[in-house]
Order: sequence, then structure tokens, then C-alpha cells
Amino acid sequence: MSARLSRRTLLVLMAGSAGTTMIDIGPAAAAAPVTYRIEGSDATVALAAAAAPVLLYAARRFHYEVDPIRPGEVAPLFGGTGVLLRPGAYPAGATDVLFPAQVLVIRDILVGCGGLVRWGGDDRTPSAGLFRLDVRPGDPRLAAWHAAGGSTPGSSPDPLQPSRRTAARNLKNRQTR
Amino acid sequence: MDERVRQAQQWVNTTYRSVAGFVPVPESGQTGWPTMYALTRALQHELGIATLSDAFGPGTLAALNARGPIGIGQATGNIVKIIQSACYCKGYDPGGITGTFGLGTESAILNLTADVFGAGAGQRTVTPKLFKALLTMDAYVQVSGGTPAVRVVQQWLNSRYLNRASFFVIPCDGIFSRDVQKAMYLAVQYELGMSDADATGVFGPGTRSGLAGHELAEGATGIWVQLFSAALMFNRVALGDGSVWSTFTTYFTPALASAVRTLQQFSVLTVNGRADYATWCQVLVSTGDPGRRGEACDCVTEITDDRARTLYAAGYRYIGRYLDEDDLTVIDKMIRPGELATIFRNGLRVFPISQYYGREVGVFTYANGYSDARRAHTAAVGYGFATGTVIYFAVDYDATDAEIGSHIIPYFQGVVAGLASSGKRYVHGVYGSRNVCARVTAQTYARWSFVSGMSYGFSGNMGFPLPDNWAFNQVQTLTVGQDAGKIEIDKNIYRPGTDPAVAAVNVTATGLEQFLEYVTKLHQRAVAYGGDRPPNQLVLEFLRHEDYNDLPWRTLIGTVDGTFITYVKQLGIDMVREVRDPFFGIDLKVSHLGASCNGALVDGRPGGNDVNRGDVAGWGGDLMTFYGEWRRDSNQYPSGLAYCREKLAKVSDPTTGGTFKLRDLIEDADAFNLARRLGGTANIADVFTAYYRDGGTLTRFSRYYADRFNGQQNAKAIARTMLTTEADLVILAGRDYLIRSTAGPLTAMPGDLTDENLDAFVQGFAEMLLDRAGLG
Repeated sequence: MSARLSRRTLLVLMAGSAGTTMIDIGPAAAAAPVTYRIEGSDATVALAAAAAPVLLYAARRFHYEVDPIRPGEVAPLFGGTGVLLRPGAYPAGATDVLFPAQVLVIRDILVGCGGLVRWGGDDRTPSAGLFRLDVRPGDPRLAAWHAAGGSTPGSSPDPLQPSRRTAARNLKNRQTR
Repeated sequence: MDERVRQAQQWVNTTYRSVAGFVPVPESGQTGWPTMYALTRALQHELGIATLSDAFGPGTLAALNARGPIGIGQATGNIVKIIQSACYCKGYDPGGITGTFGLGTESAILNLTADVFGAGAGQRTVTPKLFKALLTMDAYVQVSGGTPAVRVVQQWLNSRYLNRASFFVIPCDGIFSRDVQKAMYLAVQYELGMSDADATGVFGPGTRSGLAGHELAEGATGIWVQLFSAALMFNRVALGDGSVWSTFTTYFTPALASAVRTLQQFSVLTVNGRADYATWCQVLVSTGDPGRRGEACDCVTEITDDRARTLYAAGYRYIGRYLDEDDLTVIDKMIRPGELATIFRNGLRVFPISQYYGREVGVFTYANGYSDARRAHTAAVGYGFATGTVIYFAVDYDATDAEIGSHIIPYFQGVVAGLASSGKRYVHGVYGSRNVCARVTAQTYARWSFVSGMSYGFSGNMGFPLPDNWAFNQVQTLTVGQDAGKIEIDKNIYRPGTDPAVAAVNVTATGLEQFLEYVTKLHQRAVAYGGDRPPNQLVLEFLRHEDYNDLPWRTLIGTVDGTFITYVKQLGIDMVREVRDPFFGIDLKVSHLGASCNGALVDGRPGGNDVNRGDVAGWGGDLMTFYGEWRRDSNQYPSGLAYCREKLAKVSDPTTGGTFKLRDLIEDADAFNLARRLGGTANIADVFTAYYRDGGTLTRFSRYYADRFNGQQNAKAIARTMLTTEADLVILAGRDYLIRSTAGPLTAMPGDLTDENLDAFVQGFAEMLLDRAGLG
């Protein structure tokens, strides 16, 4: 509960239903998807182990700050290197489905993901509930992001901080297709 | 199943089945999200939106805004049918799914909006945001567990802020929830003058600094007082009379100031009766003001002399450290050899934490709780932690309310069993969110809570008050000190008077041993004194004499031998007034134990389902007072069964909750069990020692239940007799006094209730006994 690393490790270990195993955060572990729970919700999703920490971070904050996710409202994509949240609410091609305050938070989540994740809302055919790796599953930055930890779970940064807004804008320019 | 709902489902399926992107709904007659989504998609189709979605987003809202409000004469056809279908699903009768917005539909909308905005504030048309509300599962009528006071605040928030772009209708169910807390953040931001773009509902630095400019004190009036009084209500501040603060007001009255002082006392803030910055933060977010001084911390790093000096100089006195860990983990966090000595040498105390990481996710199971507790016990014995030390078992993630029921509670039941099977040397505490702590305490009697308040966005923190038995509240991660003294900690607010934590290990004299020596000494004095009363009885009289020797008690169980009291005092003795129960870690009141035991010894167990004055000295008097409390609160709790389930024999802070606490039940049970063993030639010193030191407390409730109450039916009958008998005038007068002094002179006495009504209450008492008997 004190070290950030411990929180993250636990988050991952707690994840999912019975049968989940401890993840190996090294680059070799891109293989079989593992079932995790999205913290704070009762929803679970099978993800590639290397992608899981950063995608679960995105999903958790989406659940807390954008739109609550109920069981069954999340699906894996791209072999568990992407996650589709509330596909019924945010089907591909649907526009104007998120309010400005929600988009603001999503931009901040992407900043929190350190540029390792791209948002489906920036795709040519928008998919507002989609988050997927923007790097290869073996990319060492994934393990580094995980090891560095982040903010305390359940404490959201203020998305209006100028530095975060600038970072969000830069990221959007880089990732929009 | 509701036939009208089924018709609505049938209609939406039939009408939109062939529309691309429409998802049909099961025609079950039961309202649920799928039905609301189907109606949402139907609406989007009617509005000409190409890609249909479950989300009622800005696109749908804008299209409705372009149309304007919908009322009589303003629309016909399918849009009206969607409104009418949704009305049925929400429980408001529009008079049919007709496609015509007539008086029936208008009446349904009037009723619904009166629930949303408050009586008299009903509206005749469906505005776009109201349409969005219609297509949710939110309730606008009070539901079980809700209160009228909270509902009024919800309605007020809807009325005042619905015109703001980022505000949407919140439920009006009377329940303080995450949604309500978020709405409060928005309300604060709007009142601070933030624009719609800046009012994000995030409790960030801008909001905090804004609040700092709105300190309030007695005499203040206006909107800020109103918001503050609502926030205070959500924190369930206990008032002196056993109720909680539930006044929504624009005036900062003396009563409000008094409630603020109670909250400040409870939350360990400066007690000034003012809504200052720290108090504003406390009522709005689970960290409170994270920058305030904390006397405690926890860390995963070894405390060296340098670090201990850093912590001491920074004002820390209580340090949370890990007892043990799995060698599989990547973190090296457990207490090092010699570390405890370093900590104590530097004037610091320790509170031990148990947290293992399993390789399997199902870590929160009964079996793991059991084995974790046994391992924690072994580790704690290894360090020399004394009997009665509280060990905090950690739930270090955001367990949802459902998971608390399915996993966390069973885990803690395992912890309880594991500690008991190890000889019950240690007592369990709980680390987790507010909701985890409160529920684990309610269901497994955790002694103290260590709250992870820092994670203020957790589902288990937002929408829940600080638990009654909190001892540590974790509010901020920070690094203190320089160079060798540098250390990262989580700062905790410590609540004085709770867990004293540990200042030394490998010490033998404990409070329990002192108590047993005290009883032994009293017994020796009683034997030496002689007199015409048995020595065992004289000892009990001495134990009770300070608090339980006024006229009613003398009438109930007889006088004490004043000469013996004087004799003992002349010879000199250090009074022991409290003793920590080895099983629950709760401090028992020695005089109450003595009085109850005195009564049970003098009167014995009555035959059959009868009751006697000895019972009144124990459980009977407690039950009478508790009955009075129920009658006092009966507007909120019509069912005596529900009242018992929520309030009877719980672990709770001495300043809150009812009078018949778990502590009282322990004292009643022990008094009875001990009196049973005091017959014949038994010597009270031996009996107490065997009971408290050698495991008698492990089966106290099961014995008490079997020996005094003998099954559910008998327990109910005995409780009913206690509440209604007129055979003994002393019992009758005592009952009258206890009930009326608790609930007022006009209170309905048990004999005045309907049979059914009283039956539910005694059922609650009997159930509670059975439940506690399951603990041992």
C-alpha cells in the first residue's frame, strides 16, 4: 500500500476471475491473453499481459471519470492489445457521443498512458470506446511505464493543468489520423 | 413483470426491428438498461441520427434541442410513444402508448418532474435533458436505505443546476452516492463562478483554493451555507440524541455549528465550529485536506535511526509496517531484524499490517484469509507483539460493493477463524476503502479501520462517510528528510483514543493480566474479611460499586456490603476500570461486567422461558433501552427486525451508534457464563482466569446462547416476556423508566404494539444471538 510498485502489482494480481496468473512484465510475455478485472467495476477483460497494465489504467480511469462500465460491457481487440469499452454506447462510426468534459478526461488519460496508447476517437472511423497500444507489445517502454508506476489509484490528476493540456494537445496532433 | 412495460418493449421491437443499428429487447415486462438503450436508439432514429448508440450523447441532445420541448400540441407519433414507453418503465402512468401527448402523458410528466425537482416544481413538457433522464434507470422516488433529507438535496441540485451545460439530472432516491458526490463538486464549481468548460466535476486545485475563500461561521447565510449543510448531511454526523445531521439550511445556526464541532472532533480537525478550509475538504473528499498534519504514516522501507529521527522531527509517532511477505514478491517491505528496537528507541510506535500477494487472483477467499491470519500470527509472535495487538489485514484495491460481499467478507471470516484457531492472541483490523472498512467491521467485527482515503476516486470511497471505528486515515504520499534520513511514506491522520499501537515488544504484563491479578487480590481480601456474604459475591460487589449502586440497582440486585468496600480501600488497591477483551480487542467496562455478573449470581437462571431481575441487570435492561431507541427512530425504521439488523450489538465508536453495542453483549454474556461457573466451591479468581486467559472467550456466545436462550423460538419467547411481563413490579417499573427516558413519555410500550410488530423486534434480537453464537 505504500510503494507505488506494490499498488500496481496488486492491481494486476487482483485482476480478473479465478485462474489469472501473475503477469510477467518483461518483453517476452506478449503471448496468451489473461483475464483481468477493471478496478472499481465488476467488468473483466482478457488482455495480452504486456499490454494489460497501461490498458487497465485507461479502462479504470474511463470507468471512474468518463462513463461507468458494467459487466459484459468490455471486449478485447487485436489479440488483447486493445480494449473496447461499452461498444453498445460507442459503436464504430458514431459521432457526438461524448460530452466535452468526457473528451477532456480521455485526452488526459492518454497523457497518463505516456503516449503508449491511442484512442479510437482519433481514428478515421471514430470508435470512442476503443483504446489500443500505439507501440509493439514487446516495446520496452511498456515495462518501463509499469515499473515507474503512476499516480495513486483512484486519485485523478486535474486535466485542466496547463502542462497536461499542452501534452494532450501534442499527443492528439501526433495520433490523429 | 409489468404488463405495460411488456407492451412498451413489444412496441419498440415491432416498430424498429428493421432499422439498421436497432437492438431488440427481450419482451420480459421487466425494466432494465437494455430497454432504455432500445428506446434511446429508437429516439436517435426518429431524430435522423445515422449511427445508433446506447449513449444519449451530445448529438442526441443537440437534435432534441433543435426540436424544442415536447408537450401537448408539440409532437405526435413515435417520439411521443417513446416518451410514453419510458414513462411506464420509470413507473409513471401516461395513460397508454398512444402517440398523442394528451393530459395523461402530461400528468405522468408532471409527477415525474415533481419527483425530479421537488413538490410544486413539476413541469408539463419534456425538455431534452429530461428526456435523457427518462432513458436511464435512475429512481426519483425514495428507495430502501434512502432518506427524505438527502432526497430534498438531490431535488434541489437538479432544480438549481440543470441549466448548466455539464449538469444532468441526478437520481432522487434519497441515497448519498457517487453521482451525488460528483454533482456536489459541480455545484461548488458553479458557485465559484467557473465556466461550463472549467467546471469538470474534478475536485482539483482550482476548486480547493476557491473553497479556501468561503470560510463560514455561525450567523452566516446563503448558498455556501446551503452547500455546506448538505455536505455535512452526507457525512452522517452523529448528533447527541442518536440521530444524524439532516438539516438542509441557508442559515449557519448554533445547531449547525454544534454538528460541525462533532464532525471536527470525529475527523481530528481543529474544533472551532466553523466551515474552514480543512472542514470543507473533509466533508467533500475522502482525503480531507491532504496537506494537514498527520501523526502516523506507513511505509515499505526499513526504519533506520536516521529515518526514525526524520519522522519524529516531522511530527510522526505511529508507523505502519508489514509483518511478513511472500518471497515471491518484488518488494522488500517487511520489518527487518532489529528494526522494531530502532523504532521504539526513537520514541515511535508501530502498528502491524498483514498483506501477502498470491499468485492467483482469487486471493480474497475464506481459505486465504484463514492461512494469512495464521501466518500473520506466527510472524507477530516471532517479533514478540503482545496479546491484543491489532493487525491490519489489507484490501489494497478498489473492491466494488458486490466484491465486498462475494470475496472480501469471506476473506475476513477466514481471518477471524485463523486468528481464533491460533489461540486468539491477536485482533484483526481492516485496511481498505471506506466501504470495505465499514462492511468488514459490520460483518466481522474488525476492531479498528485503517482507511485508504488517499484514493478518493475509489468506488468504495466516493459516496461513503468515514467509518465509525476509523483509527488511521491515509491521505497523502510524500517524501520526507534528506540523504540517509530520506524516506517515502504514506501520511496517515491518527485518531487519538483509538488504537494505541505498540511501543514495546516482548513485554509480559498486559492489561488482562493486571485485571486477573486485581480480581485475585480482591478475592484474597474478601476471604480475609469474612462477613456473611460469600467471597465471590463480595468481589462482584466491589467491581460494580462505583457505577452500579444507586437506588434502582440496589432494588434490582441488592445492596453492596459497604463495610467491605471501605475495608478494601483502607488496605489500598489500584482500581481496574477497563479490561481489553482478548477476543475482540474491545475495552470492557469492569463495573458493568461486575453488576451483570452480580445479578446473575444472586438470581440464577430462571426456569423455562421466564425472566428475572438478574436478566434485567444483563441483557434485559440493554434490550429495554434498545427498544426505546427503536421507538424513537421508528419513523425511519418501521420494522423492528430491520432496526435490530442494522444497530444491535455492533462494533461502534462510543460516541455514535446505539446503546446496546457489541461491548454490552460481551459483558452480558460473560457475566452470565461466569456466574454459571461460580457455584459451589469455585473461586472467582480461578474462574475468571480460566475464562479470560485460557480460552473461555472463544465460545462465549455459543455457550450463552445455548445456556440462557436455548434456541430461536425460546429466545424470542424470553425476549417477549422481558418486554411485556407484569409479574414483577420492579421489572415493570424499570422497563417503564428505561424506555420512557430514552424515547419520551408518550412512547408506545411493547405491550401496546401489535403482535406482529413486536414479533419482528424480538425476532431481530433472537437472530442477532444466533448470528453471534456462530462466532464462537
